[in-house]
Amino acid sequence: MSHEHDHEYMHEHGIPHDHEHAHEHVHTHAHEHTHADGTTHTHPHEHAHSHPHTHEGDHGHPHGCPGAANCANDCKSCDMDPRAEIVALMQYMVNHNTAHANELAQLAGRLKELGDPAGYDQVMQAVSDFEKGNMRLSTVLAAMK
Amino acid sequence: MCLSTVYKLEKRPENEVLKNVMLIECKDGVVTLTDIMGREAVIEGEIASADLTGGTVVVRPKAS
Repeated sequence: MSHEHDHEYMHEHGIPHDHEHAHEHVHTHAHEHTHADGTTHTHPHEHAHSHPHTHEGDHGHPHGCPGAANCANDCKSCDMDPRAEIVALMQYMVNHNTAHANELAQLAGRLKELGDPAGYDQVMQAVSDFEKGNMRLSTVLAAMK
Repeated sequence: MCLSTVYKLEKRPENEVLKNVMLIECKDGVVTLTDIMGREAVIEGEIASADLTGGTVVVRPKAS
């Protein structure tokens, strides 16, 4: 069966692609049938079915909404702010990095206790570098807010 | 400690339910996921596995 149709794309990624998807469609058509009493007539029926088809090339639609699978809205009416989500994720990561830096410093301390001052110095240097990077991220984040 | 991606049945891209999940609550056969933006997804089932270093959680329907 070949037909024209429109549909919303629902993907979880942002990568241009060319592959098959199955979509469900409802078709309305009429056909004749005969009842037990011999009456024959025609009326419309609806049938739902799915079939795979291919999208060729980059179709350039937005992807990646993490709630798409459970979202009742179409993307055009979505009021989620992607920039706000980036800011929230960056804030989370800056805090996360701070926590990891503290944990790494504790590990360095344990190396020192175990009689490895060189190991302590190296890990603490890495912690310092790590904190510098995180400070840079924090500055970017502050500018984004 | 890291945010997780939650999948239904098994870890496959098409089974992804929610990314950046920061809270998972299980109650009465229902798993409620909340992401970093406060969005919620509700799945009937139970946690089958949680890979805390890989940031991956799999939820599957509860066996009756």
